[in-house]
Amino acid sequence: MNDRIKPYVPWINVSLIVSLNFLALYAITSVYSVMPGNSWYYSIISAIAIPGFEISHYILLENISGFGGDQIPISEFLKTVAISVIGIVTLFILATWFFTKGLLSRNADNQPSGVLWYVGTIIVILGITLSTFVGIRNSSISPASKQNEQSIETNRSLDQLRTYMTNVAFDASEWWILPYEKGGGNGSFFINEDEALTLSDLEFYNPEHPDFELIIDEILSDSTMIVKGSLINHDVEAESDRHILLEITPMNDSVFKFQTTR
Amino acid sequence: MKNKGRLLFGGILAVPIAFSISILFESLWVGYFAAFITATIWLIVLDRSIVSKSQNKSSKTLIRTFIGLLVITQLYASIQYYEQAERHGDNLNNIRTTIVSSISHLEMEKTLQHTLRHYYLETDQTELTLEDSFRELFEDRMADSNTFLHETPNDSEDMHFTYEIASPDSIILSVSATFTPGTDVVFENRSGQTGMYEARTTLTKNGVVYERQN
Repeated sequence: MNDRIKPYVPWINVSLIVSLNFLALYAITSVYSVMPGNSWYYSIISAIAIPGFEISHYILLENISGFGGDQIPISEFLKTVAISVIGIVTLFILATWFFTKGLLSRNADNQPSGVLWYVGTIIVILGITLSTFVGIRNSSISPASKQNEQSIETNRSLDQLRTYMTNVAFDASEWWILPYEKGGGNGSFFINEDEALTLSDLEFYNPEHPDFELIIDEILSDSTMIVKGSLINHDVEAESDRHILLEITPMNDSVFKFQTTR
Repeated sequence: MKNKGRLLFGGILAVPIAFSISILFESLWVGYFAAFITATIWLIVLDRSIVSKSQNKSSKTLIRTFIGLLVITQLYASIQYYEQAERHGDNLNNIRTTIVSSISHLEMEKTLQHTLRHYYLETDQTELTLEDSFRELFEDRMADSNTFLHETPNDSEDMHFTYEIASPDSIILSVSATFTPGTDVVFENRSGQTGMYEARTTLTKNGVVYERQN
């Protein structure tokens, strides 16, 4: 073997093993759903190379359980503590110790010595590369997630519009029920033959709303009216996504129902 | 050699001890970052007591570069994981609160508007009160301890409704969530819990008023 290459042989070996680990991780994560039996390998590598992953995973499960009103058993908490402690001790104490000792006690060929140096170095390099990859992946916004964000934002705005329209519907229903002397319509949306309820008669309606615009689309009868709500100052994929129709029927116990846009 | 062995075992012992505060605070992140800081301090001690005494300059540089990179990249990834977990938690809480708030508002306001409609449009108001209308319509849902049963009863539901007849012409429906947080974490709920979502709806002859209290 070329003497110039000889000192680098251990590093080449380490690089090959780290690369194989990366390939194995890629294979497991990309076909994870059909290879669940291999998840133990992924779990061990994650727990040792990025100990924060195990905690993040536990917190996510805890949040999902809490969403449904359930609690994760204390044994799961203790299991996560144990795995995280083993991960931190292995990565920061044992691996760095073997890495350091191996490099400081080189053999006659000026190569790091001992099998444990290989183990420590592989773990340290996996710790550096995987955490860098995870950190960059989590902080960067891909075009797909940008599109998702816009979609989530649109849905959130539409939910807020529905809530706003619900409040207006309750106001309209109350106006319909209350007698004339209380400022209502006494069982009708019409005040007289030519005059009907307008949105400005309703307390919750805000004509200056910065995000939503409401109009009375149609008054179908003295006890049925349709209100149309629209998002303004908001980008949407299709124009029909911008509007919501609401049928207000105070005579029914349901009071109102949302319709698909026309 | 003996001192080096002590240093190694000291590190192996110090990390779990630092992490154990997660049990005290019931927060894994507190324990994790305490263990992370302890491990970083141990690495500095390792550098001072072993690496810095080595005569091999290239090895010293290599060790310090790799360990420095390890600490920085791990800290970076941990912060990303922490922020991601917090974001998920906040999103799920917001979704949960929005669902509970919407359902409870609908249930309470529809019930009281139904009562108001019955009172003004389906009875002779000179002889009856809002309480009479409420009892006539919802007697079967008025249970012990002022509990107001759900329209579709479900034991596992998060929302606990109560009714109160403040006067013959004033009825209050309240809701307290069991595990959905409100805005103020120290708010004392009617149910005896703290920090949970709570709202109430009041019916008078002038109409229905909905107020979110937490």
